[in-house]
Amino acid sequence: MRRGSVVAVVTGLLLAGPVAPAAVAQAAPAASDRDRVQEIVRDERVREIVRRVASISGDVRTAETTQSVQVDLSSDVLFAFDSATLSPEAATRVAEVATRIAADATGPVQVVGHTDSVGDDAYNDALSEQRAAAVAAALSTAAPADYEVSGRGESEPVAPNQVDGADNPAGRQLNRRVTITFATGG
Amino acid sequence: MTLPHLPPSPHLRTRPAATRRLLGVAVLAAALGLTGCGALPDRAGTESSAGGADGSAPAPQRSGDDEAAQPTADGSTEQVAPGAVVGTSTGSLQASPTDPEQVPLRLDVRSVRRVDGDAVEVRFALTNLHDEYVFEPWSTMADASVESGANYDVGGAALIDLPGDRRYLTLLDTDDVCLCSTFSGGSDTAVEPGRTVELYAQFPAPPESTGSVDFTLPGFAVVAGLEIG
Repeated sequence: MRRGSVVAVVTGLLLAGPVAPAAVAQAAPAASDRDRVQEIVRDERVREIVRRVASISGDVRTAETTQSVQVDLSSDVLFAFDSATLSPEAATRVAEVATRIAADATGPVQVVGHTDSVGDDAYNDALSEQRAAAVAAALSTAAPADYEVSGRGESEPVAPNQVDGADNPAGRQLNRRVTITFATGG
Repeated sequence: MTLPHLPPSPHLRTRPAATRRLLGVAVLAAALGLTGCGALPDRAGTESSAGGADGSAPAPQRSGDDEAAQPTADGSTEQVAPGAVVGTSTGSLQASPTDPEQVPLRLDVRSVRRVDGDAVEVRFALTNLHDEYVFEPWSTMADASVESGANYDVGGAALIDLPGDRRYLTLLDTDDVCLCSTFSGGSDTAVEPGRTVELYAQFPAPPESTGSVDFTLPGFAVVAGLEIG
């Protein structure tokens, strides 16, 4: 629901005309990664199309406009349970993203870790940041850039961790992810 | 979205009131020679249904259907032969948000074509195969991961390229509204038994080297091997 309210704010701002980016940040202080893509676009005052492509397994999900790219990598393919060490299987996925960054990124690259809701907040915050740092380190080897690393723990789910009070494994799987976002300069 | 499960009950059926009136209008319209006005000749059986309950001449297509069948910005509708079918599957979906009855439906893909904007547009039709239940196109066909302002849409559709390991999801605008058929919901956009509604959805275009894709829509079997025109 939170995203819906952010979108409503975005729409209102669009209708209201140019607004300073600072006001946008104030209106949506906890904007998720997807919202951040929208903010990049909105700041340019352009209504753009978001192109979404995923791998068949869903391990890699890309959403991009002409001005920004967001890649969600499933933590399940990157890391073992409770680990922040990249798995051998992660190499291919990370290399694909690095290629894209090297070719198109025009500014800093945000790498943000997220967990599901299992475990306490402090633990999840630390794990998500460690995982983001591991991904950023691997990316930077192949694609030197200004990497900004952070961990958001379980605070920004993209799917419900529970449905009607019952565990929702499919939703938790989507929430365990590392998100890489960068501008492409249009 | 999870809806409370309601036991099937004849009292929930849409037919008794709506369809009986529909039949009455159809009979009257036929008697007056008003059938076949042909607003959309490929939409079987819709002509006689839009008349007023007072038996007046059939009105143009209901606004909801018009919205669902809207052409794309590049005016490409003429290139799709009415009634063309390049792939078919069947499925079933819940009749409406408040009626758990599963309505059998046929999915006919009419065309899969590259269009302006580096996109692929799929035009397809749903036919209500139930003999008495009305089908309301609603959020069961939407993309559950998108909380948009238009939850009644076919945003859950996707193109699949298995060899390329890619799933192409519906294009969104920056308000998270899909570039696809949307519905106002409720009876305004209901599909009566035996009738067909024409729909579309747009996706990011696969590389030119990708010649064919599969089409998926929640509730339906995959339509495989569709050539991209």
